[in-house]
Amino acid sequence: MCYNMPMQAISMQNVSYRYAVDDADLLAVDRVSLSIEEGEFVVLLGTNGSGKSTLAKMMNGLLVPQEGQVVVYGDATSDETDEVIFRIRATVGMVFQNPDNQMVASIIEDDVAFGPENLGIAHDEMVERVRWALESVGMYEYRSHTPTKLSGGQKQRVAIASVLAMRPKVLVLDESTAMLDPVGRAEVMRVLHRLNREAGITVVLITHHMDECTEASRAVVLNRGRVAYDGKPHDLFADEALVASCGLELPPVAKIATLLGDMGLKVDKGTSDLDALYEQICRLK
Amino acid sequence: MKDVVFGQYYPTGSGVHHMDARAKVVLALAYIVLIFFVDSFVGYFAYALFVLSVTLVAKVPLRTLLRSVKGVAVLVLFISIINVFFSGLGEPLWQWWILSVSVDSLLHAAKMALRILLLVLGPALLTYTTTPMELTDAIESLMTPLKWVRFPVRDVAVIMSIALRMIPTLMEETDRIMLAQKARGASLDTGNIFKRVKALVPILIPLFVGAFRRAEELALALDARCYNASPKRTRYRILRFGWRDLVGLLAFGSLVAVVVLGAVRYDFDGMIYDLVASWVH
Ligand SMILES: Nc1ncnc2c1ncn2[C@@H]1O[C@H](COP(=O)(O)OP(=O)(O)OP(=O)(O)O)[C@@H](O)[C@H]1O
Ligand SMILES: [Mg+2]
Repeated sequence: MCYNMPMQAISMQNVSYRYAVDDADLLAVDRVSLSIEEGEFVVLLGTNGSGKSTLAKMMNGLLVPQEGQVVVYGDATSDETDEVIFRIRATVGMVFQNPDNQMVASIIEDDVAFGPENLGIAHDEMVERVRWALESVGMYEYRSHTPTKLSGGQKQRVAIASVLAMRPKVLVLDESTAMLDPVGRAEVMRVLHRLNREAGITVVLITHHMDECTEASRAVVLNRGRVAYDGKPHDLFADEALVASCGLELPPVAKIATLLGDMGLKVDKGTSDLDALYEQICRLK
Repeated sequence: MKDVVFGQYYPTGSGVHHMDARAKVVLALAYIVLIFFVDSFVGYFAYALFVLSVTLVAKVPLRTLLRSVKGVAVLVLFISIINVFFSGLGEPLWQWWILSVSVDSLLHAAKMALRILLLVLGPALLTYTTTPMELTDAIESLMTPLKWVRFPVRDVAVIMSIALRMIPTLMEETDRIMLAQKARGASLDTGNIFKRVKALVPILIPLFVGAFRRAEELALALDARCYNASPKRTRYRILRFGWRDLVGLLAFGSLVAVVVLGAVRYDFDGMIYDLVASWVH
């Protein structure tokens, strides 16, 4: 394999998906082409019903597009052999919105072990994986607890560990921060960025909070099933008209930067970091 | 770590707690079956002694154990009374209309009461010393032979595990819905029984709808975590049959021996009969 070239983790070509087959107008995902490279931190944005979840479910073969093709590390999700399907699902780990609905066992370590058990991993390695996964999200000391008394952020970190234990190369999180308070959200974001940086895991984070993409390497905006923007988060923040037309809202700092820029001040409209904005304002005069 | 999912688990870290859950389940089943063959006071005393010693070894306070009897107290009382007055056994000491009391009927009632009490205490001891999770693991393992007749052992085990996992979540949700309905003026704990049952409808419907929605996401999560991926599924928890289990089996074996031999060799019941008879006369 060639390591100096960025490897293609997920590639989607002209992918379309409609739920009601007889309803030709209602395409949940409409001819989307997207390719995600290994090591990227992609934030997928869009309002309710823009097709984010549908797109996400196509990334690990939970849904197979009616048109186009999704390829995960060389495997097409349309492949029907069990071996390929399960290889794809173990490669692209998926975390959902409500942590309570994705736990299958009453003890945290048992829940984390569920994926490796299904994959038939040998016992010694499984123990090692469970430890690594729980340590990666900072929940190892809770391993013998029940999830009921954990905070939302902790539960979601356990859900991430449960997927990590399958040793995925890509993590897809479908609004996994939506039900969390700001503290829980920050915890989860910190874990995700660390996994991306240190374990080299590609992250696809789905959200409708624009402030979650400030540190991402790439932002993709979906609007009515189509890709409306694909590029650096910075340039997205600078384009207020586009953001508004997709039904999103600029985070406060970017909004202030945009306002200042509109007033004719020499401020970078795409600034989303408070300190950076502060510095720019200080340099004005 | 007290939690609904632990049921009445009473953690003391004793040897009984550390036993292989499979051994405990098998012993509990044997205990239940055997008690129906016990028909002598020797047997019941041996049983009581067995329960008492296991309780001591398990370090479960006797009072905690006896709490589990509370539920059947009324039943025991009822059955005893019926047996005392209606059994029609032996020569009556006292008679009125169709009611009669004899030494035999008194002893018979006492045996029935003992049987029910001991029947409840054994499984109670099991749940005090074994978590529901260990129980599911044990049941899964014990059902393994059923795989040969294509029984979906693995699926049943996952269903049990998920059911257990969802109990606290659904209970929380029930509380929330009840509060919400109360906030809208529903009165859940007033009125007669029919009114109360009727008041439950607006609680059960959202609860069910919510449960189905959860089930949908759960199904996706199971698929996403490669459920059914490998026919050679491995286990994280390994159950091991150890010396403790051997001790448990031996202890139960001696109980069986006492029950069988005791009933044959000694006319203990005759002694008790004479004792009670001389006392009532
Ligand atoms: N199971 C389904 N059956 C029919 N239509 C569906 C189904 N799931 C989603 N849709 C429709 O497909 C479109 C895209 O839905 P999708 O769930 O992908 O959006 P989303 O961006 O994830 O929205 P949200 O932010 O609400 O999660 C919507 O119009 C939705 O109504
Ligand atoms: Mg969605």
